[in-house]
Amino acid sequence: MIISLTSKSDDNLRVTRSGAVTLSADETYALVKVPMNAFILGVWLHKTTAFDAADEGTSGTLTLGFIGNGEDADVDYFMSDETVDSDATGIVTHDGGKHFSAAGGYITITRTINDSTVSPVVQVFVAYTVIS
Amino acid sequence: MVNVLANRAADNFRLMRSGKITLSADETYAAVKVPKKAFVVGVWLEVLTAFDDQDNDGSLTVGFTGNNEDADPDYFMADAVSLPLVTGMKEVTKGKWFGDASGLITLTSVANDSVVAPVVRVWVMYSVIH
Repeated sequence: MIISLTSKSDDNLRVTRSGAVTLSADETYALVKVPMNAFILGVWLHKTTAFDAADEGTSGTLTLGFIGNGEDADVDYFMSDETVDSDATGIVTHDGGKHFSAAGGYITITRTINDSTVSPVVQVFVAYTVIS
Repeated sequence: MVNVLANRAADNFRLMRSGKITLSADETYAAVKVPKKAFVVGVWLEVLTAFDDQDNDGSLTVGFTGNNEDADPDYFMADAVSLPLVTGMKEVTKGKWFGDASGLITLTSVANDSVVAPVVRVWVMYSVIH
């Protein structure tokens, strides 16, 4: 066995909760700011008002991603439209796994081509540890 | 109702980050040490340089040794989850309690014919609970 043990660890934890955000237009919404060196442990999306039936069968999408860390934005890094399941209310989860090692950033939700007659309302919870 | 409520709880947790590990040989690599009574709640594997396994028969798995058990090299991630041919972050939430003894989170490379040595990093989150 090759020993390549680490001494890097941290025991801080922060859970950040967004407000209840009404997605009234096809846009990217910055929901939660995360600092440099944050490692995302988990992301939960609570859909309190879903897309309505008017959007069914169309190409509308809702995805959860990030911007920042000196990278190109990745609008569906955490959740694809299939995972978000925007036609249903409830909570969907992702097990995280993103290190903002180069710079801070934002957790984002992106709405595209949505024909829903009611605006969806969502809330995001993000858990992270700052570890350099 | 049968009362079997737990009175054991802990509010500590620790996130461990390995260094960048170059998998230069087919070996088992000890990446992260976990103490006795640690309950592992999450493991992430970050593939920084992917395998370019020439005949595509190699594997990379994440497992453990210790806890007075036989080593289990793919307990946390089978090759189908670690996907070493693809860069990026892979995660698993499978739990493991090191109730008997401490242990090591391991990476095991098998039959890798890559001409460039893969580079990976491991993240492990645990809580110590008695």
